Amino acid sequence: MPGGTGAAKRFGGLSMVEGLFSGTNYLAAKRLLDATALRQEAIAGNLANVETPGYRRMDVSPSFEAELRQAIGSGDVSAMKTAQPKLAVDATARSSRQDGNTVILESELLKLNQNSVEHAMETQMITGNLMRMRLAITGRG
Amino acid sequence: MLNLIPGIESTSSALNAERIRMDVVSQNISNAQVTKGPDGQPYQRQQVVFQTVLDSQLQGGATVQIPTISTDHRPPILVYRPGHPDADPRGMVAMPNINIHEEMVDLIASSRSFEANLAVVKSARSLAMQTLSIGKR
Amino acid sequence: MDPISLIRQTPPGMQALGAGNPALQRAMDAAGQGTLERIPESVMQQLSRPAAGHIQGAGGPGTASFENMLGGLVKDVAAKQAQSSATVNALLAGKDVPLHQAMIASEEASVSFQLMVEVRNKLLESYQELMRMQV
Repeated sequence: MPGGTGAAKRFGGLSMVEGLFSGTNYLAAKRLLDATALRQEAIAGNLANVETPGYRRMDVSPSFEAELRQAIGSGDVSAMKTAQPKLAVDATARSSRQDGNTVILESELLKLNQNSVEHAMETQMITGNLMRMRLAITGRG
Repeated sequence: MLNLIPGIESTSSALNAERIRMDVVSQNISNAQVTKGPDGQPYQRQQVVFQTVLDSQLQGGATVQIPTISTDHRPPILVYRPGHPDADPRGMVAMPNINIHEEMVDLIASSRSFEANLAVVKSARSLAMQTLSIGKR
Repeated sequence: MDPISLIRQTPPGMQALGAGNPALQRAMDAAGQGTLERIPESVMQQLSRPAAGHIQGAGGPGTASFENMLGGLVKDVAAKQAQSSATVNALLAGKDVPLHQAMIASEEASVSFQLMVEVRNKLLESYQELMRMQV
């Protein structure tokens, strides 16, 4: 177990290495990236089934965002480390077709674009954090 | 093969399914006038039905498959053409049960879905490239 | 003279730091040479046990002593490296590991390693500074 026994140095409950990667910003970006990657899978599945009768669109479960927001608000670092997004059927999606399929091509494509931008933002945040860490450690980039 | 592009299984299943569907529609259209096929009967319309395959662990998006290409058993359309070589004693010819408008709508829908899934692959690839440059300048 | 050969000479003061804990000494050498991954399991176990006669902080074995800190750091970094290798291997084996997790794990392992190398370098510098002082 990283940062294991009592013989190791502890700062405020976290070892030096663990503490380095426990910034709220950084953890939030990592969890959001987990969700974004999962959402990409969901959107791919939705567009693959745009013509399948009775298919109901899927997305990341909305409880994840609530959980993450809660953890950020209360500063609960360990909750931020363990929060995990899950896929679920989108209960709010309504069918505009006779066969009960709830995927709307245009709005799904829009979501694809949106997801792409979020992904770029999150990867940039993570890269920024990592480079700042390196700068702090070595005094140069 | 390494699974580095997110959603690739879903998308490739869709591209495959739509391509099959387009083939079937093209076949229907090109055989719309065949009154006597190899079995002596008018051509019967072929159709595909899509089916979802859910990822069991819900780790990935759903894929799609075409379980079978089935025959549309609606009866042939009877048309009055007394001079036609295959006309029956009353002058009626049994034409294939194909409605060209239906086929065109199917073709357009299939084409749109195909294009959309191509866009998904493009997007997924750029996500993967972005991911590979995490932490790098 | 480069820092790595300086460390290899293990001057007496530095030896005291690692005294009674040859595992720590070897770990620091390995850090300097970038061979941390080759530290055997037995050595890592030794690092978590304070050896007899080691330098103690004012408060005794449980508190913040230099050696404890270094030992902990080396252990954490090795654990991070191991976790990163495991994730990347799983990815290469075709298992269901998202690409971004493998990338982030390997970057974090690299940053942790850099941290350890810098700590070691700073220790060496301070030691040399001390030795240079005229008594």
